[in-house]
Amino acid sequence: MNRRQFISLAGLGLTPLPQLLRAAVSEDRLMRPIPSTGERIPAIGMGTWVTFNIGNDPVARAQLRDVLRAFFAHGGGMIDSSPMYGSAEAVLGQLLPQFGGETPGLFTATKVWTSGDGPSDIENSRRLWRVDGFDLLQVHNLLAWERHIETLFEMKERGELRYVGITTSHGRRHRDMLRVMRDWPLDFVQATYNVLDREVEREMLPLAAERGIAFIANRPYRRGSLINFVQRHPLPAWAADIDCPHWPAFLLKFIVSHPAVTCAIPATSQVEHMHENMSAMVGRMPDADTRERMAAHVAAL
Amino acid sequence: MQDWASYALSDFLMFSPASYYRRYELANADLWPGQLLLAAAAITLLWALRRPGPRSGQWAALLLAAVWAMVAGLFLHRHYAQINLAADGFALVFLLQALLLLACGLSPTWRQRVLAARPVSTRHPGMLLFVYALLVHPLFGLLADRPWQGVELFGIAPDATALATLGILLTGSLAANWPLLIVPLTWCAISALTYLAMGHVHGIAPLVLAIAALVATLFRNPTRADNATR
Repeated sequence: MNRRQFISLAGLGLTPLPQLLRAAVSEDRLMRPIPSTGERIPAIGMGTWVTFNIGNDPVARAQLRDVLRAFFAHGGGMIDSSPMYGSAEAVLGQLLPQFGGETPGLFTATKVWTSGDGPSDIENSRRLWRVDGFDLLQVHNLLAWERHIETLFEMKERGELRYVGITTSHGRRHRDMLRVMRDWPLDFVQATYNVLDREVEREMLPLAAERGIAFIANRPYRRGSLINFVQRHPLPAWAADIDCPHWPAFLLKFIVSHPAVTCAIPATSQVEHMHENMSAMVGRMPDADTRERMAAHVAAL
Repeated sequence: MQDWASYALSDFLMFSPASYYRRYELANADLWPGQLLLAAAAITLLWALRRPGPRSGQWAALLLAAVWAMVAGLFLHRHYAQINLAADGFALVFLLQALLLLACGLSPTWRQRVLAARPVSTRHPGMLLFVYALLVHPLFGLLADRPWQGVELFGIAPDATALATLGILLTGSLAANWPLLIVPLTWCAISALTYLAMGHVHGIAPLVLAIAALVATLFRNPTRADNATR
Protein backbone atom coordinates (compact mmCIF):
# COMPACT_ATOMS: atom_id res chain seq x y z
CA MET A 1 0.00 0.00 0.00
CA ASN A 2 1.42 3.36 -0.93
CA ARG A 3 1.02 6.62 0.93
CA ARG A 4 -1.86 7.82 -1.24
CA GLN A 5 -3.81 4.62 -0.62
CA PHE A 6 -2.95 4.90 3.02
CA ILE A 7 -4.23 8.44 3.35
CA SER A 8 -7.43 7.47 1.59
CA LEU A 9 -8.20 5.25 4.55
CA ALA A 10 -9.53 8.27 6.40
CA GLY A 11 -12.52 8.17 4.10
CA LEU A 12 -13.32 4.53 4.71
CA GLY A 13 -15.03 4.96 8.05
CA LEU A 14 -18.40 3.75 6.82
CA THR A 15 -17.16 0.65 5.00
CA PRO A 16 -18.22 -2.63 6.64
CA LEU A 17 -15.41 -3.65 8.94
CA PRO A 18 -14.38 -7.06 7.52
CA GLN A 19 -14.23 -5.61 4.02
CA LEU A 20 -12.31 -2.64 5.30
CA LEU A 21 -9.82 -4.85 7.08
CA ARG A 22 -9.17 -6.98 4.06
CA ALA A 23 -8.83 -3.94 1.84
CA ALA A 24 -6.68 -1.71 3.96
CA VAL A 25 -4.06 -3.69 5.83
CA SER A 26 -0.73 -2.87 4.30
CA GLU A 27 1.28 -5.91 3.33
CA ASP A 28 4.51 -3.96 3.62
CA ARG A 29 3.90 -2.33 6.95
CA LEU A 30 6.78 -2.51 9.37
CA MET A 31 6.66 -5.74 11.36
CA ARG A 32 9.13 -6.60 14.06
CA PRO A 33 10.04 -10.03 15.46
CA ILE A 34 9.67 -10.92 19.12
CA PRO A 35 13.17 -12.30 19.67
CA SER A 36 12.18 -15.14 22.01
CA THR A 37 9.86 -16.78 19.45
CA GLY A 38 10.37 -15.04 16.13
CA GLU A 39 6.67 -14.10 16.00
CA ARG A 40 6.28 -10.88 14.05
CA ILE A 41 4.05 -8.06 15.29
CA PRO A 42 3.25 -4.62 13.84
CA ALA A 43 5.74 -1.98 14.97
CA ILE A 44 2.98 0.43 15.97
CA GLY A 45 0.61 -0.65 18.70
CA MET A 46 -1.71 1.30 20.91
CA GLY A 47 -1.58 2.45 24.52
CA THR A 48 -4.71 3.07 26.58
CA TRP A 49 -3.49 5.27 29.47
CA VAL A 50 -5.97 8.15 29.87
CA THR A 51 -7.51 7.75 26.42
CA PHE A 52 -9.53 4.62 27.23
CA ASN A 53 -10.43 5.66 30.77
CA ILE A 54 -13.82 7.02 29.82
CA GLY A 55 -16.10 4.96 32.07
CA ASN A 56 -19.64 4.35 30.91
CA ASP A 57 -19.82 7.37 28.62
CA PRO A 58 -21.67 6.11 25.53
CA VAL A 59 -20.50 8.98 23.32
CA ALA A 60 -16.84 8.45 24.16
CA ARG A 61 -17.21 4.69 23.73
CA ALA A 62 -18.60 5.14 20.23
CA GLN A 63 -15.65 7.39 19.43
CA LEU A 64 -13.18 4.81 20.71
CA ARG A 65 -14.87 2.07 18.71
CA ASP A 66 -14.02 4.10 15.62
CA VAL A 67 -10.45 4.50 16.85
CA LEU A 68 -10.16 0.73 17.26
CA ARG A 69 -11.71 0.21 13.85
CA ALA A 70 -9.04 2.43 12.31
CA PHE A 71 -6.36 0.64 14.32
CA PHE A 72 -7.31 -2.78 12.99
CA ALA A 73 -7.93 -1.40 9.52
CA HIS A 74 -4.30 -0.33 9.41
CA GLY A 75 -3.14 -3.70 10.64
CA GLY A 76 -2.45 -2.71 14.22
CA GLY A 77 -1.60 -5.45 16.68
CA MET A 78 -0.57 -4.72 20.24
CA ILE A 79 -3.01 -3.07 22.61
CA ASP A 80 -1.43 -2.32 25.96
CA SER A 81 -3.41 -1.57 29.10
CA SER A 82 -3.30 -1.96 32.87
CA PRO A 83 -5.67 -2.38 35.81
CA MET A 84 -4.23 0.91 37.01
CA TYR A 85 -5.75 2.73 34.04
CA GLY A 86 -9.19 3.10 35.62
CA SER A 87 -11.94 1.85 33.32
CA ALA A 88 -9.63 1.23 30.32
CA GLU A 89 -9.71 -2.56 30.54
CA ALA A 90 -13.49 -2.61 30.95
CA VAL A 91 -13.89 -0.31 27.97
CA LEU A 92 -11.69 -2.57 25.84
CA GLY A 93 -13.74 -5.54 27.01
CA GLN A 94 -16.90 -3.84 25.91
CA LEU A 95 -15.59 -2.67 22.53
CA LEU A 96 -13.42 -5.54 21.27
CA PRO A 97 -16.27 -8.10 21.11
CA GLN A 98 -18.17 -5.66 18.88
CA PHE A 99 -15.72 -6.51 16.12
CA GLY A 100 -17.09 -10.05 16.04
CA GLY A 101 -13.69 -11.70 16.01
CA GLU A 102 -12.50 -9.47 13.17
CA THR A 103 -9.46 -8.29 15.08
CA PRO A 104 -6.68 -9.86 13.05
CA GLY A 105 -3.32 -9.69 14.73
CA LEU A 106 -4.69 -8.44 18.05
CA PHE A 107 -1.94 -8.84 20.62
CA THR A 108 -3.30 -8.35 24.12
CA ALA A 109 -0.93 -6.88 26.68
CA THR A 110 -1.73 -5.80 30.20
CA LYS A 111 -0.01 -5.52 33.54
CA VAL A 112 -0.10 -6.88 37.05
CA TRP A 113 -1.52 -4.55 39.66
CA THR A 114 1.44 -3.54 41.72
CA SER A 115 0.10 -3.85 45.23
CA GLY A 116 -2.47 -6.58 44.89
CA ASP A 117 -2.82 -10.32 44.81
CA GLY A 118 -1.31 -11.22 41.44
CA PRO A 119 -3.40 -14.20 40.31
CA SER A 120 -6.74 -12.68 41.31
CA ASP A 121 -5.82 -9.34 39.71
CA ILE A 122 -4.86 -11.12 36.49
CA GLU A 123 -8.13 -13.03 36.49
CA ASN A 124 -10.00 -9.80 37.07
CA SER A 125 -8.22 -8.19 34.11
CA ARG A 126 -9.03 -11.21 31.94
CA ARG A 127 -12.73 -10.92 32.81
CA LEU A 128 -12.71 -7.20 32.10
CA TRP A 129 -11.04 -7.66 28.71
CA ARG A 130 -13.35 -10.62 27.98
CA VAL A 131 -10.53 -12.69 26.55
CA ASP A 132 -9.52 -16.31 27.17
CA GLY A 133 -6.00 -15.25 28.07
CA PHE A 134 -3.37 -12.62 27.44
CA ASP A 135 -0.52 -12.63 24.98
CA LEU A 136 1.66 -10.57 27.28
CA LEU A 137 1.55 -9.84 31.00
CA GLN A 138 3.97 -7.35 32.50
CA VAL A 139 4.90 -6.37 36.02
CA HIS A 140 3.81 -2.75 36.24
CA ASN A 141 6.50 -0.26 37.23
CA LEU A 142 8.55 -3.02 38.86
CA LEU A 143 6.80 -2.72 42.20
CA ALA A 144 6.63 -6.07 44.03
CA TRP A 145 8.19 -7.53 40.91
CA GLU A 146 9.89 -10.43 42.70
CA ARG A 147 6.54 -11.87 43.74
CA HIS A 148 4.66 -11.14 40.52
CA ILE A 149 7.31 -12.28 38.08
CA GLU A 150 7.33 -15.80 39.51
CA THR A 151 3.55 -15.94 39.10
CA LEU A 152 3.87 -14.86 35.47
CA PHE A 153 6.55 -17.42 34.61
CA GLU A 154 4.45 -20.14 36.26
CA MET A 155 1.50 -19.10 34.11
CA LYS A 156 3.70 -19.20 31.04
CA GLU A 157 4.92 -22.67 32.03
CA ARG A 158 1.33 -23.87 32.29
CA GLY A 159 0.52 -22.44 28.87
CA GLU A 160 -1.83 -19.77 30.26
CA LEU A 161 0.33 -16.92 29.00
CA ARG A 162 2.53 -16.48 25.97
CA TYR A 163 4.98 -13.78 27.03
CA VAL A 164 6.31 -12.22 30.26
CA GLY A 165 7.57 -8.69 30.63
CA ILE A 166 8.33 -5.81 32.99
CA THR A 167 7.63 -2.12 32.60
CA THR A 168 8.70 1.27 33.78
CA SER A 169 8.18 4.77 32.48
CA HIS A 170 9.55 8.32 32.72
CA GLY A 171 13.11 6.95 32.88
CA ARG A 172 12.70 5.57 36.40
CA ARG A 173 14.36 2.53 37.95
CA HIS A 174 16.46 1.69 34.92
CA ARG A 175 19.17 0.12 37.14
CA ASP A 176 16.60 -2.31 38.51
CA MET A 177 15.22 -2.97 35.05
CA LEU A 178 18.65 -3.85 33.75
CA ARG A 179 19.23 -6.20 36.66
CA VAL A 180 15.95 -8.03 36.05
CA MET A 181 16.74 -8.20 32.33
CA ARG A 182 20.04 -9.92 33.14
CA ASP A 183 18.62 -12.29 35.75
CA TRP A 184 15.34 -13.44 34.19
CA PRO A 185 14.46 -14.87 30.77
CA LEU A 186 12.11 -12.02 29.93
CA ASP A 187 10.28 -11.83 26.62
CA PHE A 188 9.51 -8.10 26.81
CA VAL A 189 10.58 -4.92 28.54
CA GLN A 190 8.70 -1.64 28.31
CA ALA A 191 10.15 1.78 29.01
CA THR A 192 9.91 5.37 27.87
CA TYR A 193 11.63 6.13 24.59
CA ASN A 194 11.14 9.05 22.25
CA VAL A 195 13.16 11.56 20.29
CA LEU A 196 13.96 13.53 23.47
CA ASP A 197 13.97 10.80 26.13
CA ARG A 198 16.83 8.65 24.87
CA GLU A 199 18.40 7.25 28.02
CA VAL A 200 17.45 3.67 27.07
CA GLU A 201 19.77 3.91 24.07
CA ARG A 202 22.81 3.76 26.37
CA GLU A 203 22.22 0.43 28.13
CA MET A 204 18.69 -0.90 27.98
CA LEU A 205 18.25 -1.19 24.23
CA PRO A 206 21.69 -2.77 23.70
CA LEU A 207 21.01 -5.21 26.53
CA ALA A 208 17.58 -6.03 25.10
CA ALA A 209 19.20 -6.79 21.76
CA GLU A 210 21.93 -8.86 23.39
CA ARG A 211 19.53 -10.85 25.58
CA GLY A 212 16.87 -11.28 22.90
CA ILE A 213 14.20 -9.25 24.71
CA ALA A 214 11.52 -7.37 22.81
CA PHE A 215 11.31 -3.65 23.62
CA ILE A 216 8.06 -1.67 23.87
CA ALA A 217 8.45 2.12 23.76
CA ASN A 218 5.91 3.99 25.88
CA ARG A 219 5.28 7.73 26.07
CA PRO A 220 6.33 8.27 22.44
CA TYR A 221 4.73 11.72 22.54
CA ARG A 222 5.36 12.43 26.24
CA ARG A 223 1.64 12.12 26.79
CA GLY A 224 0.91 14.64 24.08
CA SER A 225 3.17 17.45 25.26
CA LEU A 226 5.93 16.55 22.79
CA ILE A 227 3.60 16.47 19.82
CA ASN A 228 1.97 19.71 20.92
CA PHE A 229 5.40 21.29 21.13
CA VAL A 230 6.79 20.17 17.77
CA GLN A 231 3.58 20.96 15.93
CA ARG A 232 4.20 24.63 16.60
CA HIS A 233 7.10 24.32 14.16
CA PRO A 234 7.16 23.42 10.49
CA LEU A 235 8.12 19.90 9.57
CA PRO A 236 11.60 19.93 7.96
CA ALA A 237 11.53 19.47 4.21
CA TRP A 238 13.86 16.48 4.42
CA ALA A 239 11.18 14.58 6.36
CA ALA A 240 9.72 13.75 2.95
CA ASP A 241 12.81 11.64 2.25
CA ILE A 242 11.66 9.22 4.94
CA ASP A 243 7.98 9.44 3.98
CA CYS A 244 6.91 11.53 6.95
CA PRO A 245 4.02 13.76 5.88
CA HIS A 246 3.45 15.03 9.43
CA TRP A 247 5.04 15.21 12.86
CA PRO A 248 3.43 12.06 14.34
CA ALA A 249 5.05 9.92 11.63
CA PHE A 250 8.34 11.76 12.19
CA LEU A 251 8.33 11.09 15.94
CA LEU A 252 7.18 7.48 15.66
CA LYS A 253 9.55 6.56 12.85
CA PHE A 254 12.40 7.79 14.98
CA ILE A 255 11.39 5.24 17.62
CA VAL A 256 10.48 2.18 15.59
CA SER A 257 13.48 2.50 13.30
CA HIS A 258 15.81 1.73 16.18
CA PRO A 259 16.94 -1.84 15.54
CA ALA A 260 16.24 -2.98 19.11
CA VAL A 261 12.74 -1.52 19.32
CA THR A 262 9.89 -3.95 18.72
CA CYS A 263 6.86 -1.74 19.11
CA ALA A 264 5.78 1.78 20.04
CA ILE A 265 2.42 2.30 21.75
CA PRO A 266 1.03 5.80 21.17
CA ALA A 267 -2.36 6.46 22.72
CA THR A 268 -5.13 8.44 21.12
CA SER A 269 -8.87 8.95 21.29
CA GLN A 270 -9.07 10.55 17.83
CA VAL A 271 -9.54 8.57 14.62
CA GLU A 272 -7.56 11.11 12.65
CA HIS A 273 -4.63 10.74 15.03
CA MET A 274 -4.82 6.97 14.71
CA HIS A 275 -4.48 7.29 10.95
CA GLU A 276 -1.43 9.49 11.49
CA ASN A 277 0.12 7.13 14.03
CA MET A 278 -0.31 4.07 11.86
CA SER A 279 1.21 5.83 8.86
CA ALA A 280 4.55 5.53 10.63
CA MET A 281 4.58 1.83 9.77
CA VAL A 282 4.78 2.37 6.03
CA GLY A 283 7.27 3.91 3.64
CA ARG A 284 10.98 4.51 4.03
CA MET A 285 12.53 4.39 7.48
CA PRO A 286 15.39 6.55 8.72
CA ASP A 287 18.87 5.07 8.94
CA ALA A 288 21.20 5.70 11.88
CA ASP A 289 22.50 8.99 10.51
CA THR A 290 19.04 10.28 9.75
CA ARG A 291 17.87 9.30 13.23
CA GLU A 292 20.62 11.46 14.72
CA ARG A 293 19.58 14.28 12.44
CA MET A 294 15.97 13.89 13.59
CA ALA A 295 16.94 14.01 17.26
CA ALA A 296 19.19 17.02 16.74
CA HIS A 297 16.48 18.83 14.83
CA VAL A 298 13.86 18.36 17.55
CA ALA A 299 16.32 19.20 20.32
CA ALA A 300 17.12 22.47 18.57
CA LEU A 301 13.48 23.58 18.24
CA MET B 1 11.57 9.19 47.55
CA GLN B 2 13.71 10.16 44.59
CA ASP B 3 11.25 8.33 42.34
CA TRP B 4 8.26 10.24 43.67
CA ALA B 5 10.05 13.56 43.30
CA SER B 6 10.51 12.86 39.60
CA TYR B 7 6.75 12.76 38.96
CA ALA B 8 4.91 15.78 37.66
CA LEU B 9 1.44 16.57 38.97
CA SER B 10 -0.02 15.67 35.58
CA ASP B 11 1.48 12.18 35.82
CA PHE B 12 -1.09 11.36 38.49
CA LEU B 13 -3.99 12.39 36.30
CA MET B 14 -5.50 9.22 34.88
CA PHE B 15 -8.26 10.83 32.81
CA SER B 16 -8.51 13.52 30.17
CA PRO B 17 -10.15 16.90 30.81
CA ALA B 18 -12.83 15.99 28.27
CA SER B 19 -13.65 12.83 30.15
CA TYR B 20 -13.75 14.72 33.45
CA TYR B 21 -16.14 17.37 32.15
CA ARG B 22 -18.36 14.71 30.60
CA ARG B 23 -19.01 13.48 34.17
CA TYR B 24 -21.05 16.62 34.78
CA GLU B 25 -23.08 16.14 31.63
CA LEU B 26 -23.82 12.54 32.54
CA ALA B 27 -24.68 13.38 36.15
CA ASN B 28 -26.98 16.22 35.06
CA ALA B 29 -28.74 13.94 32.60
CA ASP B 30 -29.13 11.29 35.28
CA LEU B 31 -30.75 13.66 37.74
CA TRP B 32 -33.04 15.61 35.46
CA PRO B 33 -35.60 16.97 36.47
CA GLY B 34 -34.19 16.72 39.99
CA GLN B 35 -32.36 19.99 39.36
CA LEU B 36 -35.66 21.74 40.03
CA LEU B 37 -35.65 20.37 43.56
CA LEU B 38 -32.08 21.53 43.99
CA ALA B 39 -33.06 25.00 42.84
CA ALA B 40 -35.85 24.97 45.43
CA ALA B 41 -33.36 23.90 48.08
CA ALA B 42 -31.00 26.72 47.09
CA ILE B 43 -33.82 29.29 47.26
CA THR B 44 -34.84 27.94 50.65
CA LEU B 45 -31.31 28.37 51.95
CA LEU B 46 -31.11 31.87 50.53
CA TRP B 47 -34.39 32.72 52.22
CA ALA B 48 -33.11 31.31 55.51
CA LEU B 49 -30.06 33.56 55.25
CA ARG B 50 -32.11 36.68 54.65
CA ARG B 51 -35.13 35.89 56.85
CA PRO B 52 -33.95 33.45 59.49
CA GLY B 53 -36.57 31.86 61.71
CA PRO B 54 -36.14 29.95 64.95
CA ARG B 55 -35.63 26.62 63.16
CA SER B 56 -33.75 27.88 60.10
CA GLY B 57 -30.40 26.60 61.34
CA GLN B 58 -31.82 23.13 61.83
CA TRP B 59 -33.41 22.98 58.40
CA ALA B 60 -30.36 24.42 56.69
CA ALA B 61 -28.13 21.78 58.26
CA LEU B 62 -30.47 18.96 57.28
CA LEU B 63 -30.82 20.27 53.74
CA LEU B 64 -27.06 20.58 53.35
CA ALA B 65 -26.60 17.06 54.75
CA ALA B 66 -28.92 15.69 52.06
CA VAL B 67 -27.11 17.66 49.36
CA TRP B 68 -23.67 16.40 50.42
CA ALA B 69 -24.93 12.82 50.51
CA MET B 70 -26.30 13.25 47.01
CA VAL B 71 -23.03 14.62 45.63
CA ALA B 72 -21.27 11.65 47.24
CA GLY B 73 -23.61 9.13 45.68
CA LEU B 74 -24.51 10.61 42.33
CA PHE B 75 -21.44 12.47 41.20
CA LEU B 76 -18.49 11.03 43.09
CA HIS B 77 -19.47 7.37 43.33
CA ARG B 78 -21.69 6.84 40.31
CA HIS B 79 -19.86 8.99 37.78
CA TYR B 80 -16.45 10.24 38.92
CA ALA B 81 -15.37 6.86 40.30
CA GLN B 82 -15.68 5.48 36.77
CA ILE B 83 -12.53 7.36 35.78
CA ASN B 84 -10.80 8.15 39.06
CA LEU B 85 -9.74 5.35 41.40
CA ALA B 86 -9.70 7.82 44.31
CA ALA B 87 -13.26 9.09 43.81
CA ASP B 88 -14.90 6.52 46.06
CA GLY B 89 -12.60 7.72 48.81
CA PHE B 90 -13.76 11.27 48.15
CA ALA B 91 -17.35 10.02 48.31
CA LEU B 92 -16.74 8.63 51.81
CA VAL B 93 -15.37 11.99 52.94
CA PHE B 94 -18.44 13.72 51.51
CA LEU B 95 -20.64 11.27 53.41
CA LEU B 96 -18.71 12.13 56.57
CA GLN B 97 -19.53 15.78 55.97
CA ALA B 98 -23.17 14.82 55.43
CA LEU B 99 -23.17 13.00 58.78
CA LEU B 100 -21.63 16.01 60.52
CA LEU B 101 -24.28 18.27 59.05
CA LEU B 102 -26.97 15.78 60.02
CA ALA B 103 -25.66 15.78 63.58
CA CYS B 104 -25.80 19.59 63.57
CA GLY B 105 -29.34 19.50 62.31
CA LEU B 106 -30.38 17.14 65.05
CA SER B 107 -28.34 18.67 67.86
CA PRO B 108 -30.33 21.15 69.98
CA THR B 109 -27.23 23.18 70.81
CA TRP B 110 -25.49 23.37 67.44
CA ARG B 111 -28.22 23.89 64.92
CA GLN B 112 -28.71 27.60 65.48
CA ARG B 113 -25.06 28.27 64.80
CA VAL B 114 -24.95 26.82 61.27
CA LEU B 115 -26.66 29.98 60.12
CA ALA B 116 -26.57 33.48 61.49
CA ALA B 117 -29.46 34.11 63.88
CA ARG B 118 -30.00 37.55 62.32
CA PRO B 119 -30.54 38.46 58.64
CA VAL B 120 -27.28 38.29 56.74
CA SER B 121 -26.09 41.33 54.85
CA THR B 122 -25.82 40.94 51.09
CA ARG B 123 -22.25 42.19 51.52
CA HIS B 124 -21.25 39.46 53.97
CA PRO B 125 -18.37 37.39 52.47
CA GLY B 126 -20.30 34.20 53.21
CA MET B 127 -23.39 35.48 51.43
CA LEU B 128 -21.31 36.56 48.43
CA LEU B 129 -19.64 33.15 48.28
CA PHE B 130 -23.01 31.41 48.50
CA VAL B 131 -24.46 33.46 45.64
CA TYR B 132 -21.29 32.95 43.60
CA ALA B 133 -21.58 29.18 44.03
CA LEU B 134 -25.21 29.17 42.95
CA LEU B 135 -25.13 31.58 40.03
CA VAL B 136 -21.62 32.44 38.85
CA HIS B 137 -19.62 29.25 39.27
CA PRO B 138 -21.83 27.26 36.86
CA LEU B 139 -21.13 29.82 34.13
CA PHE B 140 -17.39 29.16 34.12
CA GLY B 141 -17.83 26.02 32.07
CA LEU B 142 -19.85 27.92 29.47
CA LEU B 143 -17.11 30.52 29.18
CA ALA B 144 -14.69 27.68 28.48
CA ASP B 145 -16.91 26.49 25.61
CA ARG B 146 -18.23 23.51 27.51
CA PRO B 147 -21.83 22.55 26.71
CA TRP B 148 -24.55 23.90 28.96
CA GLN B 149 -25.59 20.34 29.76
CA GLY B 150 -22.42 20.09 31.83
CA VAL B 151 -22.98 23.10 34.08
CA GLU B 152 -21.66 22.56 37.58
CA LEU B 153 -24.66 23.01 39.82
CA PHE B 154 -25.01 23.20 43.56
CA GLY B 155 -26.12 19.76 44.75
CA ILE B 156 -24.49 17.88 41.86
CA ALA B 157 -21.02 19.34 41.40
CA PRO B 158 -18.68 19.06 44.40
CA ASP B 159 -17.03 22.47 43.85
CA ALA B 160 -20.28 24.40 43.76
CA THR B 161 -21.61 22.44 46.74
CA ALA B 162 -18.47 22.98 48.80
CA LEU B 163 -18.46 26.73 48.06
CA ALA B 164 -22.16 27.16 48.82
CA THR B 165 -21.78 25.27 52.08
CA LEU B 166 -18.75 27.32 53.08
CA GLY B 167 -20.67 30.48 52.31
CA ILE B 168 -23.52 29.48 54.61
CA LEU B 169 -21.23 28.32 57.39
CA LEU B 170 -19.25 31.57 57.28
CA THR B 171 -22.42 33.50 58.10
CA GLY B 172 -22.85 31.53 61.33
CA SER B 173 -20.60 31.12 64.32
CA LEU B 174 -17.06 30.32 63.17
CA ALA B 175 -16.17 29.19 66.67
CA ALA B 176 -18.89 26.54 66.47
CA ASN B 177 -18.77 25.77 62.75
CA TRP B 178 -15.05 25.28 62.23
CA PRO B 179 -15.23 21.44 62.16
CA LEU B 180 -17.68 21.75 59.27
CA LEU B 181 -15.25 23.90 57.28
CA ILE B 182 -12.55 21.23 57.02
CA VAL B 183 -14.06 18.98 54.36
CA PRO B 184 -15.24 21.77 52.01
CA LEU B 185 -11.88 23.53 52.20
CA THR B 186 -10.02 20.26 51.68
CA TRP B 187 -12.18 19.49 48.68
CA CYS B 188 -11.45 22.92 47.18
CA ALA B 189 -7.73 22.14 47.51
CA ILE B 190 -8.12 18.70 45.91
CA SER B 191 -10.16 20.18 43.09
CA ALA B 192 -7.56 22.91 42.53
CA LEU B 193 -4.83 20.26 42.23
CA THR B 194 -6.96 18.31 39.75
CA TYR B 195 -7.44 21.37 37.57
CA LEU B 196 -3.75 22.25 37.76
CA ALA B 197 -2.89 18.70 36.70
CA MET B 198 -5.23 19.16 33.74
CA GLY B 199 -3.46 22.42 32.91
CA HIS B 200 -6.63 24.44 33.54
CA VAL B 201 -5.43 27.12 35.90
CA HIS B 202 -8.84 28.76 36.21
CA GLY B 203 -9.86 25.74 38.29
CA ILE B 204 -8.07 27.13 41.34
CA ALA B 205 -10.72 29.88 41.55
CA PRO B 206 -12.92 27.99 44.06
CA LEU B 207 -9.99 27.50 46.44
CA VAL B 208 -8.90 31.13 46.14
CA LEU B 209 -12.42 32.40 46.68
CA ALA B 210 -13.02 30.07 49.63
CA ILE B 211 -9.86 31.23 51.37
CA ALA B 212 -10.59 34.87 50.54
CA ALA B 213 -14.10 34.59 51.98
CA LEU B 214 -12.79 32.88 55.11
CA VAL B 215 -10.13 35.53 55.67
CA ALA B 216 -12.57 38.34 54.96
CA THR B 217 -15.00 36.90 57.48
CA LEU B 218 -12.30 36.54 60.13
CA PHE B 219 -11.25 40.16 59.72
CA ARG B 220 -14.75 41.53 59.35
CA ASN B 221 -16.04 44.07 61.84
CA PRO B 222 -19.33 42.46 62.88
CA THR B 223 -20.78 45.53 64.56
CA ARG B 224 -20.35 47.83 61.59
CA ALA B 225 -21.51 45.20 59.14
CA ASP B 226 -24.56 44.33 61.19
CA ASN B 227 -25.49 47.97 61.44
CA ALA B 228 -25.24 48.21 57.71
CA THR B 229 -28.06 45.71 57.30
CA ARG B 230 -30.51 47.78 59.29
